[in-house]
Amino acid sequence: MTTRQTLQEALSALEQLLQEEGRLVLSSIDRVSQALLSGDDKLADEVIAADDAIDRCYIAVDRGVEELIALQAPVAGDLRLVLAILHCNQHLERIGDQCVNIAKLTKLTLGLVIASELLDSFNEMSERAELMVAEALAAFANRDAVRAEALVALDALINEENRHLARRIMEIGGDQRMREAGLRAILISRCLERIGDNAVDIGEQTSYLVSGEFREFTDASH
Amino acid sequence: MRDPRADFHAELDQVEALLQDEAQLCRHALTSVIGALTTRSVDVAREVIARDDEIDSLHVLIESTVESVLARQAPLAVDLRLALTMIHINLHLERIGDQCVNIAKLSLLIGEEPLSRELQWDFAAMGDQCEVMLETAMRAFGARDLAGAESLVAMDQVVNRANHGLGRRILQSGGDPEDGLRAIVIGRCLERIGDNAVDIGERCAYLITGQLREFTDASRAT
Repeated sequence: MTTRQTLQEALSALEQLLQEEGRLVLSSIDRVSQALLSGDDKLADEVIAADDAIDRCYIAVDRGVEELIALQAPVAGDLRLVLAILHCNQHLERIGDQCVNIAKLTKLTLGLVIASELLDSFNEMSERAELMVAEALAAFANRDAVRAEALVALDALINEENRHLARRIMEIGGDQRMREAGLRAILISRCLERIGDNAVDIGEQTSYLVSGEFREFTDASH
Repeated sequence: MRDPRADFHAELDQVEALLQDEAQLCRHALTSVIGALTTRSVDVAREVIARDDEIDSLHVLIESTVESVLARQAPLAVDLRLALTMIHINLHLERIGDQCVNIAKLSLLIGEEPLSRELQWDFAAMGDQCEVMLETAMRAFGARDLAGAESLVAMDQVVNRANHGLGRRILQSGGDPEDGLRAIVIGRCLERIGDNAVDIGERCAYLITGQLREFTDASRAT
């Protein structure tokens, strides 16, 4: 960033960097769910390695936020945008970390048998999670508060699936190895559920950006 | 005429004091929720859930005050870093509050049966360590103490190891599978509290050095 850049140019460059990070995160969700569903050890390793690029993007956005405020002293709506980018950056980085967690858990389940009905649930949950993050990023880019708030309804579905899956795993029960598989499966399900929560959090930032007022879409504590 | 910079510093100092108050509330929530968990107290668990509103209110007040400082003043260099650092620490404290609520809700689901001695010991030890970490992180922030901030990484390994041990023991112990899973998720919440304390340490290091770097490799823990 140079001082000759106008404020609008600087804001748009920063937002593009955030969206670039979003694309990396979407690719991680997509690949980690493939690794999970097909038990692909190598792909899981790739997702873990790819998190470095997300972290580099995260640090670049974080630095960009500081530079932009220092050099351009944005106010009102422009300052809101910079702060919303700061928060979205946190959430995207967390989603990247959740993908790494799922990748590590996938590697730990490789020798274990996961019931096919659980895999079906994972398939559905990871598709929903990916869709939610894509929606959250699009709503942010378009300053579309209605689309952002629609994330709450999508999140309810992922939460319900998470609860359903936990119930099923406990009903399946089984021997020690099956319990171990079940346990990993519950943790994976929870990671996917948390990705949904982070997408809702990005939606809240869009709402803040558009309205100027921060409010949580749903009751406080996830 | 008053120096506007002096007002500005006074305002940042006030926000910093509020952050320390928020951290106190978080520490209280953590101690209470571990007590609720180990003594199976329904009342204390409910109180932790109810009192999270205080943490959330402080969180919103801090966020809006920093935003208004950034809008009215154009802080430079270390002042700007302090303002941004406080936004981040505020986020991590609010997350710690939410994790305490999660633990309280899980504690209520476990019912009134006493936990095994091993589990009580595990939770008490992890909770203590997290509380010490939170205290260390906030003291390092208050004193701008880089070594103190960096010491959190080694402290976090204790929590992570305890969490792994907990998972192994629960898997091997038979017992009610639903409560076993709840205990595993509680272990994870505590582990995340430790991670949030490390994140506060990272932000504190950034405040002191001007360089943002992650203390540990990308994505911690499975």
